[in-house]
Amino acid sequence: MHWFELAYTHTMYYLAQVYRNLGENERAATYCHSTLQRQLQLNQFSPMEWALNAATLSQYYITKGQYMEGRHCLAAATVISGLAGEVPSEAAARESETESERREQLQQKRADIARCWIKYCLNLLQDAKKLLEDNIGELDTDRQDELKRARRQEEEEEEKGRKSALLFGSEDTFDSIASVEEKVMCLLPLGFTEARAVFLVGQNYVTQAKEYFQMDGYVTDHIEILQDHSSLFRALAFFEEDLERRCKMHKRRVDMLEPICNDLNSRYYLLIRRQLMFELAETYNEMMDLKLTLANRQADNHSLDSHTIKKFNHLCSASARYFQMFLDSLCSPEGKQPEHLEEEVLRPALVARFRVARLHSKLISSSPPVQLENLNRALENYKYVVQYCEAHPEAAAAVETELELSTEMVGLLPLKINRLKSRMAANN
Amino acid sequence: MAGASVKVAVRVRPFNSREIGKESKCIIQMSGNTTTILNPKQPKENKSFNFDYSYWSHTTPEDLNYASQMQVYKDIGEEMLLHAFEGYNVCIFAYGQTGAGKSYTMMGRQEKDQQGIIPLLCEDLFTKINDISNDNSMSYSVEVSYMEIYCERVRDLLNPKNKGNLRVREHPLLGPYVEDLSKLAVTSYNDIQDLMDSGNKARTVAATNMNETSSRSHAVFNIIFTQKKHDMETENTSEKVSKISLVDLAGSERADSTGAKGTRLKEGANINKSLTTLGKVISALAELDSAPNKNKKKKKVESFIPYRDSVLTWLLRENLGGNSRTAMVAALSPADINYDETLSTLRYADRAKQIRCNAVINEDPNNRLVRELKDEVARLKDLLYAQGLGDIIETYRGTVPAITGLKLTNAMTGMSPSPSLSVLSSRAGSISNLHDRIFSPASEEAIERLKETEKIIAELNETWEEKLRRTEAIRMEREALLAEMGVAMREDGGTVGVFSPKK
Repeated sequence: MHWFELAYTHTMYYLAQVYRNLGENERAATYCHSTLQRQLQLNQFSPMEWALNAATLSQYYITKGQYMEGRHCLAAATVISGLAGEVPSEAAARESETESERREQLQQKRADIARCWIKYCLNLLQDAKKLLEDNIGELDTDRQDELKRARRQEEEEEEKGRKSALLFGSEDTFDSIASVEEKVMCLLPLGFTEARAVFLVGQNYVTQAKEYFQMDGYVTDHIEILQDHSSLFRALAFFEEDLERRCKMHKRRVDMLEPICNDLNSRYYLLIRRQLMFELAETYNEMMDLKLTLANRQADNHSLDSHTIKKFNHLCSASARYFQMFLDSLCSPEGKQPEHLEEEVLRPALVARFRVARLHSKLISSSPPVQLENLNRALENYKYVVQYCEAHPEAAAAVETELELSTEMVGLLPLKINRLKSRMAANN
Repeated sequence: MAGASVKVAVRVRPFNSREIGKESKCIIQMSGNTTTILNPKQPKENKSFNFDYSYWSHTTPEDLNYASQMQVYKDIGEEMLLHAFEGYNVCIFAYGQTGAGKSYTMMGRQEKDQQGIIPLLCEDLFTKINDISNDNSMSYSVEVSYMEIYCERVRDLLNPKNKGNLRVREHPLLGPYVEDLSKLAVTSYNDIQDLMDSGNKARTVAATNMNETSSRSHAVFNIIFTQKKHDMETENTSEKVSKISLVDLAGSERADSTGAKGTRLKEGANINKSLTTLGKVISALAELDSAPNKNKKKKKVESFIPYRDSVLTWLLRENLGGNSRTAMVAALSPADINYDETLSTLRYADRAKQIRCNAVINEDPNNRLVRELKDEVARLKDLLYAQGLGDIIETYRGTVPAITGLKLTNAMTGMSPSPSLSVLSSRAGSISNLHDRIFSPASEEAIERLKETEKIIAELNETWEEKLRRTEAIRMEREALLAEMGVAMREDGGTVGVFSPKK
């Protein structure tokens, strides 16, 4: 009888492979799910391996937006990984190589599960944002109300769904799994309170994952976790109505990523540093915009006080500096700019130029020579975009909008520059 | 050579004794960079692949088409060495079925003209170093390490007494490294040769039916090359460190065709008999669906796949992108009895061409920025337009009286817009050549014009209603004034008669 049950489980497993090879991923996933379920029911599993498989399957569900199933897989993974036993102590690990390896394995795999949870929270927040945002990336309150009304229907369906879904576990574990599930929602958060709750769950798993994936030893993994943490903040900021608090969230991102970016060896970690530079540039830009909006709301007329201007300029320059750093990282070891941009960096490089141009034209200064310098730098960078696309026509498709605007600005900025020059000449 | 992608070459060797014994036919054809494989069971069916190089080494050196060890080195090895001198990291790895010729290509044999890429590269390295050693400002150091990766365990081949499994780690400043891996300094090619020999002896060898000297492990030979330049003037020393990784990958074949027995079979065993690959299936599902989407509109969904990269991929991660150069040489057996494996190698090599670094830059959407900029463009265009009109007024001031007196006419008589305005709007079409004039290098003129036309621009910006109201008010004032003086106005503006001034 036991052999028969095992054969049935294997059949599920083979079907999963068949469907995967046929490209029918949904079916394949269902069979993987069934295989896992049967393994638990028959007590035919090694806890850590099972947990990792369930956690990986959750990632499949997440990519499909099926958060209820994803959450269930993760909750089961968390519970079952607990069945693998206690982590051997450091002392025990020093004594025996097997214990040392076991300690390593358990810690690492549990940290891996934490990382899967982080992705769950992150994707949930990001998908909610996609649904709620208007065409310039702000929260659309009408859509929010609409979705809140539709929510009641969803909740009923969730209940139905739970009953029909393939539940993992045995009598012992059903409850534990359910209690882990209760800690985080599986419906898309529609407002700040819900978003914050999801954020906090994600942040908790960040802390857990970082305990194992420390910087010294696991640079790449550690930074990926930090990047996820930064993305969690960014997603939460979308839901935050108070602009001052929103700005503080972005500041947390900067404080987290800036020291890392500067401390990493630029040769070995070139690619990851590029990601960090670009993200820092965008974050400073975001903060700059927020400060300006805040200042304009407070002032009765449109003049800004010197303190605000200083702050604004600091954020503006910081953003430009990081975009420039990104561009410098594309140079050869001798410092020569690339004549041809590789596919992976083509769009980011041209966008960076575009952004540097825009930032320079936004800098505020009361000194005309400084204004002139800023406008000239802006023009220089817009020109680069236009000239590069002329020399490499295939590049234009990657930066359509930016190219269009750069072309306009190359035509129009000289107008502004000339007006400034004429004023300077008049004043002399 | 593209920076971030892999340069791929394939090479086919002569028949070996086993193949000759089985009277094998050659199923590989090469033409230029294209390699074609014929299906021995379906002779009409053939598959072709394009690579950066297709090396025909099936015959002998007497054949004009024969690709020798030296040729392979010149095409691939030399370029890599040059890159290393420039300061880049480089990596060459050899892939293919056991006995297909990987080790021959990478190491070769000690006999004349039979040396592989590694010995030729090392020889070249020291030759270059000795050539430039006359320059006192430059100094070089070369260190090597040699490790074996077997069943995910790392072993130091230059210190085999160290039986332990070495851990691979990453340090923020030192980069990725293997803990406790010996790095030995070498000063000549002979040193390297000796170390390689002893390292090779220490490799795990599995004797299989196919090839007496086959191996089931990956071997990674690293050369760490440091160039120091001392600048006499500034007393500064700058340093360039590059790593040359030379990798001999374990045989790629499945177990069945080797007839291997016992514990060795387990390594290449048909692992579908246990559920241990369930994880691989699930990973494939999750990875497949989060692959980068070419469609810009659909954002990539982020996921984390818990399965660790193999040690090899992890160590070579730095070479798959950024400022590195990577080349792969796939070794092929020419025989029909190895069709499946050879086809599989060709497919793998084909996929390798697509390998790119996977550290993607995720951009925030910039819709708000675009909108802001579009507004600014519109504003600047309005300015240009108005400026353009001002320029027209300047031009025609002397020639068209109607326009000259435009200001005065409106103010005095309140007459309806003269035809001259329609003239103006038709002139607007020629803004583009105005554009050229304004932006001409001799812009002193333009600046002057700018100053003068600012006033006109202000007036033109007045709405027509406002103008009417203003002129109407002025007209009434004037009439009142004239009435005081006793002069009446006809409707057409002419004066008529005199009467007693109203009080």
